Amino acid sequence: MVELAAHFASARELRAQKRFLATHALSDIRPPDAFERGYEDRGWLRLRDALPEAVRSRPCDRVYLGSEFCPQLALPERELGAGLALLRSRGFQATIVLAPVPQTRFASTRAMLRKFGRRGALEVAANDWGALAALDGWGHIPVLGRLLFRMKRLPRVSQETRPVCSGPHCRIRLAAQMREFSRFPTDAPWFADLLRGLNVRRMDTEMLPQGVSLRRPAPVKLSLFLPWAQVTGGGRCPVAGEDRRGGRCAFGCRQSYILPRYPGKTWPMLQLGHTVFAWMAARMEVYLRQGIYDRYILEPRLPM
Amino acid sequence: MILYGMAALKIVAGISGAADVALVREFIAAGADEFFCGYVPAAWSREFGYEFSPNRRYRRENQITSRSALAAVCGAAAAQGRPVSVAFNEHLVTQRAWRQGRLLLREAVEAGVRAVIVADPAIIRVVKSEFPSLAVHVSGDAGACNAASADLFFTLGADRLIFPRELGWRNLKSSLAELRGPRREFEAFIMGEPCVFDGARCFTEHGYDLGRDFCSAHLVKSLYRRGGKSPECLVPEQEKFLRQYRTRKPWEVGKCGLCAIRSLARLGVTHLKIPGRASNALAAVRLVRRMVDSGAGPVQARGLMAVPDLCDSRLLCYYPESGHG
Repeated sequence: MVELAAHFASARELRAQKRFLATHALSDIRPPDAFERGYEDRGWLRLRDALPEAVRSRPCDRVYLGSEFCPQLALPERELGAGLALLRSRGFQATIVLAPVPQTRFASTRAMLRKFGRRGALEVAANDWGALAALDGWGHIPVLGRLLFRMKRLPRVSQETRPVCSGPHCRIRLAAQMREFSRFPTDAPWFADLLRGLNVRRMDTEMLPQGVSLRRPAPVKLSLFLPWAQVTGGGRCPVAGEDRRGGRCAFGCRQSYILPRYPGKTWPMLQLGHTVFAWMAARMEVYLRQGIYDRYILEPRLPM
Repeated sequence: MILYGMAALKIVAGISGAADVALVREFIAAGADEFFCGYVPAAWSREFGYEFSPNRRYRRENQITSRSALAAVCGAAAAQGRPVSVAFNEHLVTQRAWRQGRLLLREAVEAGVRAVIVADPAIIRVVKSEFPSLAVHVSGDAGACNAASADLFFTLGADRLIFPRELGWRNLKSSLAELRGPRREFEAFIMGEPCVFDGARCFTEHGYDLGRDFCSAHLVKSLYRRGGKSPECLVPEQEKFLRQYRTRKPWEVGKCGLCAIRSLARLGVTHLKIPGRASNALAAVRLVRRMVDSGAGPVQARGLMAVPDLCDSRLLCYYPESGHG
């Protein structure tokens, strides 16, 4: 049985979803405010309609809360507490999403999770190796977050679309390259061992243009984000001005978006803050047919 | 026993596929203490080409491609007591890649390579068990953004941690306060050309359509208001920054941490990294050597750089949050 989850960046966004919180129905998730030229609003509606009826009609009983893409977007304790309380009161399961936790916030993150974990172990998606390694010891349920799902995202390459390629070696080796780029990390015994060693229970994954192939069952449960995949990110943020403002962020990623021009790209792309996403809905059917995921995580709006 | 302090700092320079004995000697004369490089032998390139890489370099010209060339580089470096590391730092190592990777590392060891740089924590134990003589350095692209990540890598068998390029001063300082200890080496970026994105977070492909990778080809062309029509919500400072971001070529926006060298040494950093693809690497090695040998501080660093407006803007700083006095 596949579980449905919805991902929201903040308690404020969550509170705006009054009908959904009452009914748990995907059809009641309010799309983001209409854009003139954006992807997200049209994207959500298209995604929702494209889901098979058997999936679409299922109640969505879990919410991912938080943003993984930037430490500046980490939820303050009060907001996370309010979000978790709201979810509990409406009968939802919660997964807390952590951005990579900088050392300066590591102790406070641990204290915050300890506080909210008093009622029982929390499922927490960690997006750096240190937080992932620490979660089990803190008494929580470790989930390998999407930023640690480190397969290549190939916006110019897919099973259907050959890459723009100018070297003869490129054409010759393309099949071998695609095969290796699509290998799932847990096929390697050392990666599976690492997950077992850290007591990781689940991997949150994304749809990749080149597809994924598993030779053996994964040692952990697998989730799939729909419909976006992070392609690249980090580095200097063009809209936050973080490193020019002594650490204060203007949260430009919540106000603006960028359409990157990328010669040869085959997938629609969108940049929020310093993170570039590819719109992967076109590959959704293939992924849903694979039958290896027991959770779909739907993103009505990119969690920034 | 690891020595700390300015005088004990080692300069680690990356070298490209064109490196030869003469270049290595030139780097040593300029002040390099260690080298790192990419190595793709024929067996790897026959099976995978260069775009499926063992080391996050995706073009032939960035790799040393013959064992004899690698042995020559290692020999020239070893003649003056300088070790060479080979990069094997893709985010993930597949089983098939390890079949070739094992051969690659065996050849590298035979050629005189002393350490391997990895980014996949899962492969550290495998490398350690099969190549016990090789030191393992954890790549900045592993993304060790806190002490717990570093502890995990050291527990798995790493000998050195290279801090991620984007870590920032406060996190580097507080991580080192937790981590410093015997037999642990720490390497920090000090000069070179960064990508606009972060190596630990960048999953895009490279090497196809030569010369036009995402990071150099993607242009911040249009900025739209999220939930609105126009970019009118941007504050003037954002507009200004975005204009700069648009008009500058990423490879021109090099980064520098010269004024932080003394502070880095005090914190416990043992090695300073100058990335391998930097076209100005030789000049960077000379500048860093001058700083290290003179024990100079931030004032002298500004003087050496001679670009006060850029220093003031802090746009090019690796560690902009501190004055490093």
